[in-house]
Amino acid sequence: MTRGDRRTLFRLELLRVARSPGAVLALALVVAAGAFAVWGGAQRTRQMTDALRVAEATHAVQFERVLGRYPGTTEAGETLYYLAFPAGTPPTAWSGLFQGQRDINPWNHRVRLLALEGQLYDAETGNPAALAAGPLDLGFVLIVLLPLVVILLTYDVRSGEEEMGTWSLVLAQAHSAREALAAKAGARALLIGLATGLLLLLGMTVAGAPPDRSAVSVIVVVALYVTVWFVGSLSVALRFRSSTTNAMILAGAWTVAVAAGPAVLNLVSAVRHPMPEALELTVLQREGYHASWDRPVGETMEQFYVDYPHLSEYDVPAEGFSWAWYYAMNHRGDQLARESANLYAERLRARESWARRWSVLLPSVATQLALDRVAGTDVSGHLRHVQAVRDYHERLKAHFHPLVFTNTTIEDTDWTEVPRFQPKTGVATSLLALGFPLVTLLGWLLLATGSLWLAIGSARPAHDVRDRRTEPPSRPVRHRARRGEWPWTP
Amino acid sequence: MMNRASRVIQVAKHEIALVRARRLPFWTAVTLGLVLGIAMVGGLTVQTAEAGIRDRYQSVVDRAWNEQPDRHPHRVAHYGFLAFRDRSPLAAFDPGVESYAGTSVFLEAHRQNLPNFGEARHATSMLRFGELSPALIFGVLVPLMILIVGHGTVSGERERGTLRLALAQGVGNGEFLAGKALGLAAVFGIVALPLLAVSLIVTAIVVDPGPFGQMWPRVLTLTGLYALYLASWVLVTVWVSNHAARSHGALGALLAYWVLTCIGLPRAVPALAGALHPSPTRAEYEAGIDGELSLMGDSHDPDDPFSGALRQEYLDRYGASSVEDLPVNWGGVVSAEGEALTTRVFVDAADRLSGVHRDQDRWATLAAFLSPYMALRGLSMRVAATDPSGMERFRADAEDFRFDMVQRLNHLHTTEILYEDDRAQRVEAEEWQRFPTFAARPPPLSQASFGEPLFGLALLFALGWPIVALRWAARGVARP
Repeated sequence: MTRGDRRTLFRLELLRVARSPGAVLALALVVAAGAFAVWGGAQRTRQMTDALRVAEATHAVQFERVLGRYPGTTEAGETLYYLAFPAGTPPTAWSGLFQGQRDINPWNHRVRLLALEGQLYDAETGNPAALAAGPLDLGFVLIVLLPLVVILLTYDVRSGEEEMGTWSLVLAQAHSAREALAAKAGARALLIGLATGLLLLLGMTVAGAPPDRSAVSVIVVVALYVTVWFVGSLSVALRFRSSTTNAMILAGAWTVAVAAGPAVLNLVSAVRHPMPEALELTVLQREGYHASWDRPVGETMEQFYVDYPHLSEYDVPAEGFSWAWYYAMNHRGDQLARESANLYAERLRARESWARRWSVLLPSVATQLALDRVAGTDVSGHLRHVQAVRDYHERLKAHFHPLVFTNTTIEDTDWTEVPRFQPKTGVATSLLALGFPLVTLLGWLLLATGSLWLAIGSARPAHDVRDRRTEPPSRPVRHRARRGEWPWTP
Repeated sequence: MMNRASRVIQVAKHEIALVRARRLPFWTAVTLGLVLGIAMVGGLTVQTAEAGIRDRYQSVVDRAWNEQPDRHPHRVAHYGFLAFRDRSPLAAFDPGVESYAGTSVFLEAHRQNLPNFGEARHATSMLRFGELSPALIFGVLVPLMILIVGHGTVSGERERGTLRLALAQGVGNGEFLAGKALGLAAVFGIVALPLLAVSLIVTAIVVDPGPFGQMWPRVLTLTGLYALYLASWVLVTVWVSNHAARSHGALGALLAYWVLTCIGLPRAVPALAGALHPSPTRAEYEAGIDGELSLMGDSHDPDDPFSGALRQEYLDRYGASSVEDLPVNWGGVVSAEGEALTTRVFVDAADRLSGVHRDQDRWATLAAFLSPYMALRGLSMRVAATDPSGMERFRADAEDFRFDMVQRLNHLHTTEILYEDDRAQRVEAEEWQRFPTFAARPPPLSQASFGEPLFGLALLFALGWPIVALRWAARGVARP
């Protein structure tokens, strides 16, 4: 067989797939869903950018109002009770496409100089019903919907022809069954590759993602994932089974991969890692602060100096109210909650690394975790934001505490020097930084390829193909006709 | 001569025998039992652990409140109260939006805090594939099993030529279809319904109902809902199988319908609704509140201009010349008045936000007519008390509790604390024990079920149209 023949065969096959209404509809639907997801992602990103601007504007208005309301001789400490400083981590180019947990975890804080632990954990204002349904982002389209198209295009690649009785026709055009199947697989791979490429290109263009190492990571991960499905699904389709059986096997595999499997893993994770620290730190923080009101000033100040020894040089009245004492009491709340807050973050990290380890079972989960890592929308991304807020709170304290401890007035305070929030947006994620999920995908690709190789190896010669149309039940029906019944079963 | 009913039963028995011959009931039951086992053990463990944690900290908070020393009432108003949302006992069966709604909310003077934490906050994005629960299993996985087992129920007979035989022996077209549906329903009635009932009954027995009453009516209602839903899948499967020329085509059509109604629409519709009615982000929400509050001044500051009119009113009422001469504490009066005003702003903002959410959810209600799963989910969450309205109710209850608590403290401030040297005074510790503790009032079953009649109608529609379609198919000439 010449190259030209092969090309003709390939073109013929492409034409046949392109003329099948089911395949075209499925491809069109997945591209449409992808386009909607990309548009929705762009809208969410815009909303987040707007929210950052709103937070800045709100702060500016509040600043003017609070400082304007008090005479210039008021202590700065009093106005700082009200002032809230914006601390929002801007969305990355990818976060609209792979939304991860960004719609659930707060990312735009307003930090006051008060106890921090009480300010970190308030929920975002999203609709719980929509959150429970899950986001329709590009990740969902690529991870959940695209494999369905792969299955639809491949499940009857051989059995379909056999059942239609056209297998011998196909063989007549090709040298061997292998040639014919290669043309079929190639045509389908091209279409799936085109759809995947189109979705990624659309996503990257609309989201404005730069072609850096992150982009390479995304492209490689998605390509690996889709290839795992394509090769795996081919390896099922090439064995001698009926189309119906193939469809059932692949639908079952898909259900396990994108619904039942992740749900089981998640449940196991929830059982293994309970989170009492979340409520504990809330309770401790509040008690720590409020109990200080009923204790001697000196006691609270002693505890405060443990963390800020350089402030002990200032005098704080031992009786009665002072703003220095007030902020020290607030710090006392954070101090008491510190251990459980650290434990809480540790538990979150433990959950994430557990999920990354066990995603070895499910390429879908591995892909999701890898893409969320690139987009900075995973648990690590959230913890980075929280750490940035903690750092910012410390910088605010370092800036304002000396002013508060010296009873500086509003007019004597240089308000232009106030530190600004510095988000930890992270750098582009290289392939190596993806870690375990990438290994998982490579492993699954190896597995799928092996299975395909076995499937091709076990292929019987073409003339041995049985007609599968009238496949009988695997066992004789245990149904005895009695008198007066219709024994229509053979 | 056999009558119509016995002919239907005959076909049904034959269908059961066919399915049994392929050993399908066995494998269906094994798979279902296994997944359900994992879901039940996991769900109940999480449920008891989570309920235990919340109980523990609620009692810690209650005790801390009661054991407060002598304090100034306004101090206590800032000390505030932490309210924990009770997890619905049936969340082990259908978690609904439970994991996505806040768990605790801090209630204090002058401020409205949003509920925080929740299982979703502690999870990785693996959670977004869906939560394993009996509700997911019976709502999504069992329909898949039904269509896999049943897709060839009529088309297979046609392919094997046995349909011709049956019709030739005097079975009517309608009798044949009815028998097939009955047989398939019987298979799943025997395999799935007992597991459904067991999972619900075990949940109801194991889990402490807490303030959620009517457990057994809820269990019964849920059993009925899921039975109806699965029946609609049996009917659709038989109809498609009858309609399709080949089993292969029937399977394809049914799988497409399943993917669309159980996976696609439940995610696409809220996404679309969210794009049409965007929720404000927290920053926008809080900026709105800030803006409105800035118009009313500061209740911490008794000399604030807004209190001028109020001051005159009080001076006139008591015939006093200055606030120092009033028989009540002017600071407390201003606090109470300020709290009433700010609370109105908070409640309005929260209502506006939930209004946006309700606008979004309305799309889901309409889409339930396209997706029986969305209809079932809407109803199931409501009966299990894990739907968004339950979470809204917690927020509203907590807000009411906050307002009453703060105003009671402001009343103490007004009557028990003298205006002069206000801050140095205290109210005795016994007073705090007289305050009520927070008790959630979960919505009753009646409100849950009839609150949104469209879901019920959609489920009936899901059951009704295949019946009509099958009757229509039975009328036509048989296609052997």
